[in-house]
Amino acid sequence: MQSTDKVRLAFIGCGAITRMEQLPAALRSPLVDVAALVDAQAESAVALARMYGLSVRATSNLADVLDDVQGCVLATPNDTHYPIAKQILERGKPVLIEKPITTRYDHALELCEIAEKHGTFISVGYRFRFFPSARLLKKLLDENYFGRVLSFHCEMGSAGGWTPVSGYNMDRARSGGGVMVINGTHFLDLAMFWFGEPVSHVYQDDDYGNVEANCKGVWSYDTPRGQFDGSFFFSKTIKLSNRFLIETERGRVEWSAADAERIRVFDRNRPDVKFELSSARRPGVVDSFRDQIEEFCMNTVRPGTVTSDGPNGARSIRLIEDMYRGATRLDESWQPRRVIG
Amino acid sequence: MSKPRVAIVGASGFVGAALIERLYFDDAWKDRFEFTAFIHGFGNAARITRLPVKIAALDLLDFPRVRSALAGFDAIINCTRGDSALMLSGLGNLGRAAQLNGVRKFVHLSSVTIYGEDPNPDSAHEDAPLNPRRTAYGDIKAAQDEMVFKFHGNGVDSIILCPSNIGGPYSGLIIDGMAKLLAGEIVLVDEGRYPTNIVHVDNLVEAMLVAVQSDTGWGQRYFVNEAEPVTWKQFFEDLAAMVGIEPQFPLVTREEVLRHMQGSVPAKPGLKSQAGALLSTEFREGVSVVPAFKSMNDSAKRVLSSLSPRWQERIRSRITRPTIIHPVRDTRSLDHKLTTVQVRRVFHSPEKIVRQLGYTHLLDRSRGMETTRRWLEFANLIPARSHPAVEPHVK
Repeated sequence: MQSTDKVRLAFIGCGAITRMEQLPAALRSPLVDVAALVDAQAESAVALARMYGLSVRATSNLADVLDDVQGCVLATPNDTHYPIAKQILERGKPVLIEKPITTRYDHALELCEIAEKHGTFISVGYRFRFFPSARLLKKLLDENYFGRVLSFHCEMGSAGGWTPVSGYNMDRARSGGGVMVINGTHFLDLAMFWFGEPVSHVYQDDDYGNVEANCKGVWSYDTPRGQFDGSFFFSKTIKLSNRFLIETERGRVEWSAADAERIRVFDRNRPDVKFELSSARRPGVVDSFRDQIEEFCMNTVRPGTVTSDGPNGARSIRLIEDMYRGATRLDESWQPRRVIG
Repeated sequence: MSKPRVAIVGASGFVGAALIERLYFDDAWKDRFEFTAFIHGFGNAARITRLPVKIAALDLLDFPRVRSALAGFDAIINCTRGDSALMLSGLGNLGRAAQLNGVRKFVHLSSVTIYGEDPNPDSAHEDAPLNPRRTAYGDIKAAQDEMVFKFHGNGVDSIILCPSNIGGPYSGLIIDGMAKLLAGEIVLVDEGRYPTNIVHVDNLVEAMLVAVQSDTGWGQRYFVNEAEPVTWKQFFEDLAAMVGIEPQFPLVTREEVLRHMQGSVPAKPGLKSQAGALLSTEFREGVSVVPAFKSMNDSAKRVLSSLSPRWQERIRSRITRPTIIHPVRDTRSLDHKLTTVQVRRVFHSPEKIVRQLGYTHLLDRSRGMETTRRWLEFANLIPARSHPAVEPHVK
């Protein structure tokens, strides 16, 4: 595609993620023509347009703008992804959906079928896949550079943090879950990117009737190169290291969400040295939101590879549903609990 | 008979969340009250939103909403922290709403910082005069206490609970202490002989609940502390034992730390220094994005370059600010909070709350450290001793 061929996009949902990430990323891109802002509260769309000095349509009615755009970026509360994406796909337009694709696996599957039927596609906002470090790690793992994977541990957590404008993330019916869906899904997606789908899992969380704040568990893998387990810990109450530690035959490999370019290797044969690996081809400024939007634009004009597509998003939701179904309670034996009577 | 209705304000904070968890998990308190957890926003509320309890957002600076939200409550437990506006105006709104709504009881969380960073020996007991040499936070907490005593005078029975450092699960002091211990950065002041005044958060919660249901002792301030003093040396050795290390702590004297604390207050820049900053290249380049300033700057440059080199040099030497090179940080962490807090020598006795409110410690020292250890393991902050056995769920 020529750099002058801008793709006309509508941004659906004018909350925090659109305001702080998606829209700025689109405005940084030479490939995007921001054509419309849509929000259930029209005044939010108008305010967002004003914030960035945009002379675009700002409306609460998606149907009004669909004919005028080539694709949509959807960042609304999770429970609304399905009906809105369905409306977009049925008009034959592609949609980039903020993760998770939907709150239910059957809905995700249905969206994938609609996309296929109408000759269009879904991209799901798993932006870590766009980190050069994540791509490099996948390449090296696929090439067996580190030898067999023996196990891994991943954790992602913060004490509080992201607050959607609507507060939907505190309501299971609207969010589809707690920290697993909101944060953990990013690392689940990375694990699927690097290792494929687990064959079994153990899952525990601290949900007592709403949305979990902490979850832990184990994903087990059976790959052509052997079996291994990966443990995980995701938290909305504890600051964690936000990284993967992967034990391999060659040594420990560390991928950190704080470093988009490099991975660290602690070679078994050289415990005195820390090796940092990065792609020989310098990626320039890493801008994962923009990279995904630009990939979306390019696929809109000429179909190609979608790094995180609808079926991938659906697999992720299937696994999360499965984990929630088999959930047991996390041990909180530090809580004073006196049993009376 | 209906249960007392209690509004817990600041319920998503460290202490507030521990209180909500206790009311949910502990049978001893579970059904005593009908409570609502009031929070400022949902960003930090995950610890309580996982529980099926009543939660409501409330901006304490919005008086009409505060008044309306607190209608029908019998008691308020105030755990809020925040900036000075929230802590003073917000508390004022809470008190006014309590009075207008006929709320009968008000339990307020204060702090021993009202007695200063180096409290006098007589502050072992609550009736000691407040120390006027306080931090800004201590000033705010002292002002809050005055307000709460006024609420009491105006008919809202009030109790002020005064902890010092708070330990236990989710304690920032514990998290920080363990991280510094593992990094070898803990120093002991005067061999770590002074009392920590660290009260376990679950003991503090117990005190709050005992207070709110008390029939006597209102209009008073109470220290909340462990039954016996624990020294800083004991405390850090307890933490070290959790991770199986025997550290050798560097020692510093109390006088060294106090000198460092007094010397670390940055001097206010003088007029000449501030004028120099205005004339600095960085400042001029910064403001030159505004065309009018750019034009002025360019004119000044032209005038300067028209002068003789001797005059140019004289002017430059007058306006150039000295380059200050600071020494590297003292590796003994004299300025760290875990060091400066050790200069306090007074044990703030909990004798009064025990005697007057019938408070008893829920956890003794060893049980308190055990719950702390279990939580640190859960939080992956120290290695777990054992993993619970769980069967895999196969697809």
